[in-house]
Amino acid sequence: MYKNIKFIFVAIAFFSVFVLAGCLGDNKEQVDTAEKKQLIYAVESEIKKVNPILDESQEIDTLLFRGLTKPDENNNPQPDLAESWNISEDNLTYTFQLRKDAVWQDGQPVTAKDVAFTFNKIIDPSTNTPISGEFNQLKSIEATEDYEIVITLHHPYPPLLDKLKVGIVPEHILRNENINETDFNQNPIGNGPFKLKEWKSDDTIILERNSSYYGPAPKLEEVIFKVVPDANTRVLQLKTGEIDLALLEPNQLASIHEDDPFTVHEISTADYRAVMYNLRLPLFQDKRVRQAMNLAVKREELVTGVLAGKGEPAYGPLQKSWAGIPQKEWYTYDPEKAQQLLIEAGWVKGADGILTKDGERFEFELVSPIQDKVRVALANVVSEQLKPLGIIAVPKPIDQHAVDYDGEDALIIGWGSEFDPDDHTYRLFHSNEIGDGKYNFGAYQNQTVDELLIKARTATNTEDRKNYYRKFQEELAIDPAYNFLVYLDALYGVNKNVSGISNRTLGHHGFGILWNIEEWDKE
Amino acid sequence: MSQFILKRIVESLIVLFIGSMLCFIFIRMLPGDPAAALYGDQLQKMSEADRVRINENLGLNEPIFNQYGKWLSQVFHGEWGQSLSSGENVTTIVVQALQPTFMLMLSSHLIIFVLAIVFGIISGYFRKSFIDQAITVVSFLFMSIPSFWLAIILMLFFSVYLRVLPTSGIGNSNWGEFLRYIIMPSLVIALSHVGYYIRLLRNHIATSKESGFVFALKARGIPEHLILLNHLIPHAFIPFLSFTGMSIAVSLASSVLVETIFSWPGIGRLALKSALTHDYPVLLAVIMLSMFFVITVNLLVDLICAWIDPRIRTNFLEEGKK
Repeated sequence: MYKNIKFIFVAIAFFSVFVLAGCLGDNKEQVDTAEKKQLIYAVESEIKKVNPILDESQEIDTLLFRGLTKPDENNNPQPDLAESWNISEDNLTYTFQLRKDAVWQDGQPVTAKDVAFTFNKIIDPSTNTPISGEFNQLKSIEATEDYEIVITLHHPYPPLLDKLKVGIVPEHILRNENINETDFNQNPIGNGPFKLKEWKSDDTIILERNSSYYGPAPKLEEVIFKVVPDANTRVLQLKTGEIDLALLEPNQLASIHEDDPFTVHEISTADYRAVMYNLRLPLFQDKRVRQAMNLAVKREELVTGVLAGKGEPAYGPLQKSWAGIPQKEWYTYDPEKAQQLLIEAGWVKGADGILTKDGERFEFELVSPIQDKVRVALANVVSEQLKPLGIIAVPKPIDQHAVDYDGEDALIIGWGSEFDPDDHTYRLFHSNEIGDGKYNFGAYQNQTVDELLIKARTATNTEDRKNYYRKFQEELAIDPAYNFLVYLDALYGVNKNVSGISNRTLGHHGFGILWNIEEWDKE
Repeated sequence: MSQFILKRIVESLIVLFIGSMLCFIFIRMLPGDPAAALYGDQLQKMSEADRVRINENLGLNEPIFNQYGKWLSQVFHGEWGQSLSSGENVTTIVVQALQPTFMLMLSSHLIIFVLAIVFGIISGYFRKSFIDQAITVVSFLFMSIPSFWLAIILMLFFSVYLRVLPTSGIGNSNWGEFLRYIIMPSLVIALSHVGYYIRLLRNHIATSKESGFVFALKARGIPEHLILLNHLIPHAFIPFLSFTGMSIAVSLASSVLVETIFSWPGIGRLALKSALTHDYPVLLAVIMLSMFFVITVNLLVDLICAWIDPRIRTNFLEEGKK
């Protein structure tokens, strides 16, 4: 009997908890308070901190913090916190006049002191930021007056104005704080069109319109950043209307129907993928070999096969820039010409169909970071496309942390800046940029390219710059550093009620969609 | 009894200590580091100098045993350190994630217990009947369906077609709404685990139904329903509870997947996130917490079993005396 009583007791305990849960279920659902004009943006990774100097590409930062400049529709830098600027003759000194009506959310004015503080923090070695590399040309930054700031550089650096879009942070709050760990990073005080309303425990962040913003008042009342790590869930939420905006993947397009409450915006980006050759290897020394491989790749196939048609063939680094020229004629698929070039370079097919020269087989490893499905797929397809020529490119997907950028035979690289053409050309192809912390991983050296890139970055006249970049692109096509493959499109699912999205060419991974948030609206 | 509990607690502490040391060393062996995580998909822009500089700032360049010593002494002072990726206090982050996971575990196990007890008993008692076979097929089906797939199907059905439940998230603090959000994730965890419980109960009831003591009871003229209620079910309760202890560890692990799909801000998602960003202090805290949880649940299960079954209690007492 004793046994039974205990059993019944345990059973009752379970049931009472269950009944309790059932009672809770009877609670009436709380209806959302008055309809607000709010945009709900589902982001993949959790936002851990909101501080523009600690992150490179985080959309939320640009809503709360504005910088000296901002891009316009054509990706040219326009005044933002800086009203106007002067650039010295030698391109080394920039003087900015700040606007006087900008204030922090707490009412303090935004002054030159804040600007100087921000950039000094970015280049401070004790700041854990991935963007310090963007500002390594900064020699000094000084607040000469309350609203005047002077920046001096080591060397001329045309992309500076684009880079200065990085948000300014308040000196009066952060002066004595450890920037890496301060509470400010979760309780940001900004100067932008929106301000923090609530940071919920599930990492949903609610921003509301900042009435003290100096610019045009945003039409939206609230912007909500909701963390939805799973890509399929994001699509389903677009379908149910729970969210208004999310980045999509090409393979999800098939599941989208016309009567869904959202449409897909395909936005062109400057983000390209290419095969980078390590020119430290004797194998790639002869430029005819690289030309041949350029001719052997069917880029349209890569776009349709790997990107589901959402992208375009790539022929050069500046294709999306004002300095770009059409380069297609050099590298349309032409296997005979490729064959010819390889024979000229002394490579002959052996009995097994593989090219050999002086007893050496034409074989190399083509590395891709395993976390990036698109790059892995590109490596596989390129490898197949090179096979008929007798070239063995062994696809080697490895953990992205294990990629040795300076040391692999060849790798699928991704670059592309939507801003000044100098940004991702000088640093990638100039021979001064070889070594640790520099981006010429393949040790590409070409004197003509070096000279043209220097001229292009120091010339003041746009026409001259364009001319130099044209010559540079021609030379790069003759002596290719990369085998350019594809440009990616950014795919955004957007609720049909949302308007104001622009088609500005975006950067890496479609970053920057919210750049004109003030103009966005929702019915 | 108290001696037994004391012994178990000391054992648990040793397990925790060894576990923490192994974890501390093993998570450093993962490729990548917090500096790399900071750069994310811009990793190619990170120079070796940056890596060294940032890791130095974070105190990661010291010998690993020094770091472990520091961490351990911190932990003994109740201080779990700062997150490497956000700078927030680890205790705050973990405590915040604890409640959603606790609620999810609670509700999914309530569903599991109710379903398992009802169907396990029916299935075992009417062994080889049509209903037993139907339950068996269905439970095998749910055992073999991957939970991420089930999650998407449920979402499609309840959220996209019927539009009765929200796809993911946790809602506001309001209870009614919270229940609407918790239904699907708990169902997914419950359905993918309940099959094991049903099988366990079924087999236990079915075998003990054939055993001698049931014949004896029948011979004494005790009605069948009383045999079931007073003897068979309590008899099956012990293995059921022990299995629960083990299975909670498994469902904690599967919550990583479910929490990610349903954007549930719990421990599972925190574990995944901190592993991906190499946020060592957070990851360690989460692992330690899970270990502590699993050990505690198992200890509790043992104690409850002892409380219910006098035979086990006697064993405990004898062990204690030794």
